[in-house]
Amino acid sequence: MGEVPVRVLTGTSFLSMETARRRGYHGADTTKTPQTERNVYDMAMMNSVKRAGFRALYGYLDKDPDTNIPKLMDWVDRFAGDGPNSFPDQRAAFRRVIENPDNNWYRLIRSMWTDIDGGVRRTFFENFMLNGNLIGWPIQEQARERYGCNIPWAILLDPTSACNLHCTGCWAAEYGNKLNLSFDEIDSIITQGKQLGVYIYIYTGGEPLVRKDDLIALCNKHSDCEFLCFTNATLIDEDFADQMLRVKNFVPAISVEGFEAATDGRRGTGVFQKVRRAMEILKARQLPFGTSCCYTSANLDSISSEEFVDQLVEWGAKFAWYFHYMPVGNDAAPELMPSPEQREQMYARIRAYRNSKPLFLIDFQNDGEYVGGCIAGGRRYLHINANGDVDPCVFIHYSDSNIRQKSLLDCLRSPLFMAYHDGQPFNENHLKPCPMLENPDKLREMVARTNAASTDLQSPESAEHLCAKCDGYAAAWHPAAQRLWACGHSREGCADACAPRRQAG
Amino acid sequence: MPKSTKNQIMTTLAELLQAKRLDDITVTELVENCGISRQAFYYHFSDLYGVVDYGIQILLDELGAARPEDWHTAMERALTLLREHRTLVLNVYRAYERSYVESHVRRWAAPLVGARTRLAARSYAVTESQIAFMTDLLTQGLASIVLSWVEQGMPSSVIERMDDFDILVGGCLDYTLERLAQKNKR
Repeated sequence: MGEVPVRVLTGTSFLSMETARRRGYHGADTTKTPQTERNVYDMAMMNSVKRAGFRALYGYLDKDPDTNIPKLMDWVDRFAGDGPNSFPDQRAAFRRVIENPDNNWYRLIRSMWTDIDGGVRRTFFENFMLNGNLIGWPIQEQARERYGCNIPWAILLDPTSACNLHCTGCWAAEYGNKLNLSFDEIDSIITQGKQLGVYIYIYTGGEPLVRKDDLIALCNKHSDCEFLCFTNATLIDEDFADQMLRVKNFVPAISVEGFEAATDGRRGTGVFQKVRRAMEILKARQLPFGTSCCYTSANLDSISSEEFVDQLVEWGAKFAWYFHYMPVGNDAAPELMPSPEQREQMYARIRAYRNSKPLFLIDFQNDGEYVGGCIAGGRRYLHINANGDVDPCVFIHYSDSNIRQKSLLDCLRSPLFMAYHDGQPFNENHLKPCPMLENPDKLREMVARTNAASTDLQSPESAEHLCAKCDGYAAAWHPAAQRLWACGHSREGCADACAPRRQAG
Repeated sequence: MPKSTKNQIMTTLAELLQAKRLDDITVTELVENCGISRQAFYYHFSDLYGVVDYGIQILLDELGAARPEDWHTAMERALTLLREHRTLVLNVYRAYERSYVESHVRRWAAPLVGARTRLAARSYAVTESQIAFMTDLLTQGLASIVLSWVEQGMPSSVIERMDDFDILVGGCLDYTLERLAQKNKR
């Protein structure tokens, strides 16, 4: 893969911060700027102002978090003013959080200072908050406008289809275990992504840590990005944790099925103890991690129990991501899809924990309201499998593009991704966000119209076969989704929707 | 991955720097010369500047900690060592902003100068902040001399003059500390 001398890149907005610092670079060098590229350099100038402000703010918090976190909003309020775009309600809500030391969100933020290594914390704030959002977002917005397509906020990719475990029903196993994205291919995806403002990369698979040396090398090379990784955690050992501490920008999301019996039942005997050991290794080094749980009709009650969530906090997890079971693949088990009552239970429990537990919980199927519905198809993320196929979503294995043949931007402008772009949101009720699970006709139509092919290399499944498994589910979930949506979004709607239930209950 | 890979990378970069400026060298070129993969390079380093940092650290470890009394001998040894690798040093130096190099030279020199100042200050009643002020001033002077020396092509005459600089520093310290102690008494 070709490489340009570093000098040519000096002055661009996507220069690595560490490199920039070494070279004493503090923003755009306008003396060398061609007039035609002025806007790029205006943005670089603005970014250097943002960086300086952000670092000053971070330094202020870091110096004395107990005293200064509660004062944070004084700063923000001073800058925000009281104009129409100053988010007064949001600021007031945030103020309530940070001025109350007993508040669960305050405790979570505060734990970043008590539980997390100082260098890792700083890198997280710089790479995730500053680059991934404050600096990345305007670049993404500019690209959205310029190219008229979706530009993601994060890219999910599978470094390998290989896995050291053989879990029952794992969709990753469908790809077999011989496919890999090379170091140079992943490097190229990230390099292209950064030009579009994407600083957040999430590994899935396969077991990404089968390629752990390459992942550390990518963290090192792209030291301005934040890397998250879905992992079974069994390959996290002392040496790897030391490397994580060295590079500072790698955060694992550890897969758990529940307690020991449930985890070992699906993943194999002894896996639970290995996972616990990995968490202890991470905690001892003050490395942040979270968990990833797939909820099914069989395990939902246990993994959404208060006992389990408290256990996650005790283990040291900072975030817990919940995924609804998807009946993907020819050998899927649709009976594992939660019933409407179970999904509603999940909806209520996660919301309750978000108001009480020092843990950042997300239920990707029920939290569409915070992100405007479906985030796939590059609207906020996309998925690149270990064969290079660019899927709209980790669960939607249809594609008309391969990263080995097209640039990232061209993949985003492909017919399937444009169909997502034009079709989103797929439902105005964001409790029914997915074009497959809750709106199966949408996926049938998009796949047919764009001639997208199945990217399942083991056993290709037709969109019809997949969507047929969701028709019944979608119809059954509809009434509950309508009621909950009305409840959550208007008082009158809630009174109407809940009255019959109250009478009945 | 063996630690020797890191040293192998550093040695290869040092060879390339005999012919080219740091910012004209690419990682691809380095790994080809080194006979390793790009990912092996990036496992250890973020970029070529990281290799330079590593090289400087090894150099500093080799020089070891100097006693305050011997600080100017330590300076002489450091400058002589840099001069022996003149082409390499200049090819690295020219790829950096002066302010960046200056901050590093100051960071390296400050403890040495601080120890020297403290040694002289033992017999005077001066405050910590006065010692810090003098250390800062002398460190800045020393960093300026070093950087100008590099920019002039590292002539040996400057190294020979380090003796004079030591006399200047000694006299300057004694005189100023005495005046400060008098001022403190008043």
